[in-house]
Amino acid sequence: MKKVITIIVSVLMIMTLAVSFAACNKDTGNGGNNGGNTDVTPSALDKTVSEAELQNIVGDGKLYATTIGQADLAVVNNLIVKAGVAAADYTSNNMLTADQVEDGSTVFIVVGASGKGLGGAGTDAAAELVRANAFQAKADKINIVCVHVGGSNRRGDTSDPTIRVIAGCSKVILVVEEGNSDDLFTGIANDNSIPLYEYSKSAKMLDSFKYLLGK
Amino acid sequence: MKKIREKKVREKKVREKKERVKKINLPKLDLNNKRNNIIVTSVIGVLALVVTIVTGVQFTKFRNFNAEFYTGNVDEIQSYSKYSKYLAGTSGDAPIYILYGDNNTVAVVRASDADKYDTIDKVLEADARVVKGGVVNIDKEELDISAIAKADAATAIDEVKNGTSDIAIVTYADYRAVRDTYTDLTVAKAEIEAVPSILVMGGTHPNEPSGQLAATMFLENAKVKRGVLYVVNEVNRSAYTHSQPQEATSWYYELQTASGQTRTFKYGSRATNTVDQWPTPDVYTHSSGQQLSSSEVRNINRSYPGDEKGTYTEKLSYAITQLVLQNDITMVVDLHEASPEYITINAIVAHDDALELASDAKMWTLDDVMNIGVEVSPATLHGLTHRDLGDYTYAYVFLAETSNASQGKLRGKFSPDLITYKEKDKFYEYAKEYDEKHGTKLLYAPAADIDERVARHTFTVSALIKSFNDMGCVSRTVNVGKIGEREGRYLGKLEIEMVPGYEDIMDNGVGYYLHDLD
Ligand SMILES: [Zn+2]
Repeated sequence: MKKVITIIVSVLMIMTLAVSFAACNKDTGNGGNNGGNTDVTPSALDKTVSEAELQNIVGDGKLYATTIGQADLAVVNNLIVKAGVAAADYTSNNMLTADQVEDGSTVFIVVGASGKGLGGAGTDAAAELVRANAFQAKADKINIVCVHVGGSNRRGDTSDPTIRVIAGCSKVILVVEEGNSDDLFTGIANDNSIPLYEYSKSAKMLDSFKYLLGK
Repeated sequence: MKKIREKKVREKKVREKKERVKKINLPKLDLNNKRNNIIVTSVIGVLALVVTIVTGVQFTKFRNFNAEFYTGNVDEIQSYSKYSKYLAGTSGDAPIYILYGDNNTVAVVRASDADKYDTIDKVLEADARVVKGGVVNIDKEELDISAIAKADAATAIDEVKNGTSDIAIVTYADYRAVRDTYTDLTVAKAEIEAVPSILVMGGTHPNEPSGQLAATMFLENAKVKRGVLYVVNEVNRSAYTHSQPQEATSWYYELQTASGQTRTFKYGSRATNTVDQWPTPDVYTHSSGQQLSSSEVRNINRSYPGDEKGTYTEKLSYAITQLVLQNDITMVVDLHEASPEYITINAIVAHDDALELASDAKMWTLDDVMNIGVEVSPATLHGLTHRDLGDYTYAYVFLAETSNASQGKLRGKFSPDLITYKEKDKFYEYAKEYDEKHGTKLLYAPAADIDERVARHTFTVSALIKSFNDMGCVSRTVNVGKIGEREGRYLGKLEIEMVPGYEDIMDNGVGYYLHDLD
């Protein structure tokens, strides 16, 4: 009798696994519309973004880069330029607000806060949350690419509230894995059916930037 | 039952002991007796004197001890007083080591003519010259390459020496070959070729040893192929002449060279010696108006850009600011350490205009071997290199931090091994294990040994140089500053060789890359 139960349970487990794998593929394949509780697991490390609808996400729209948390914008600028966009062809502004962004534009938003950065820019976490909420309110008219590169140093009470807002309204999330060790980004991606990509270090995001920027 | 008996026996023993003590008849010391009083006072006085003399001799030795450095690769040694004249003859008048690139193109002239040829135009108007090496500033077509144009460098220099011609345009290596024998020749002030330069600063805080050692890695190993390397490894030399009060620190630590020679280094204070700057006011008011506690008034890294006539510490930082400004140094890296429990650690702090370079170095070089963060210098915190040295010069300015247990508050007993962390401190190790187990952040980075700390700093400087070269070899465009705008200009590559890499220092240890001293 025991044997029979074991076999039945095993078969059920295998079937469940198979179903969830299939669901995964579907999710990362079309970036959403998953009808159940199946997980959007991050792709294996250092993979290039591959969702067709994200290729050249900027299209004919304008390109912006900003930071919510006043940290690591230089990293994203470096990647955008290295991906082949001339510095003059996009707007990088650490205090960019949602109403400065035209509809149809794409905004790369670096999330994760720096105390030094906030102080230096003369702002604070509360004001940054206001900026974040404004981007969220406009999220259906623009493409938000959420980037987190600062690891665990850019996580915590100052960072996480704005991370939740921006990551939750983005089209795709790119994160250096150390900043997602508690699966915060994975959870947000799951809840909102957003493709999530994890990288061992920020430099490994370059190919994804090229894909997103149509280069 | 048994226990009660044992207890009684114990109590009896204690009683007996007390009685024995009572029976010893101590001689009664009547301090009201004048004679006794004088004897006791004298003995105490003599003992105090002996202690004072012994420690005083030790401390004087420490104060006067100068760590020696190998200067075999150095082309020129200047000192702070060249840039901040009131420092002449004081303990803080630190050496500035300069290494010129072999391939830099220079105009060699008779020493008496040095001031005459202070611009390129004046060089162009001169009689004869030989061109060798890559000339960036001068359009070669413009040069009247005379009969000796095809002569070799040695001949050209000889002709200047014997008066046949006025100028020989040669490489610095050519000039170096005759420099010590032809002392009546010198390099003209005119910039024949624009080259990039870097200032590596260690010893801003003499209780942060990896900064001094990493600067010394450059001083003792670097072969400059192109550009200019400035090294100051005792930025606050006055602070090396005393120790941190009440911290019971060791004064020295030692490292072994590859051949087994012992090199001795000092562990000093964070602040300028009170012998050089006293009294200490309750509040330090920086030139920006910023007010800090008295503990910062002798901290050179709160005093930039400095003041020629200010406090002693401000005179020191003025020397650095002027060094950078007068030589138009391209990049400056100020190497520090902090305690493992301090938030800004294993990090580069960059001036606003240097942030892109720092990020590039992190992303494309440093991330491969170490965990390091990049922070922008807070605009409102004044007196620091990454703020005011950046604001008051045209250099890209960076500050880097490593994790030094000997500065921390969690540490146990102090010893030279704590400085090098060759013997681990049980409290820092406990904190590290606690963090690993509970996911807490008692420490922002675990305490690291001297090899790792020096490897990090040395490689960080090398990575910043690499990024400067990768990002187009262009000097800083001033966007944020206090001395007006300036566009960056192309300087060509900064080429410095023979500096040990991260793995080199990790594998062989710092000592391996220190030179034997004669
Ligand atoms: Zn320091």
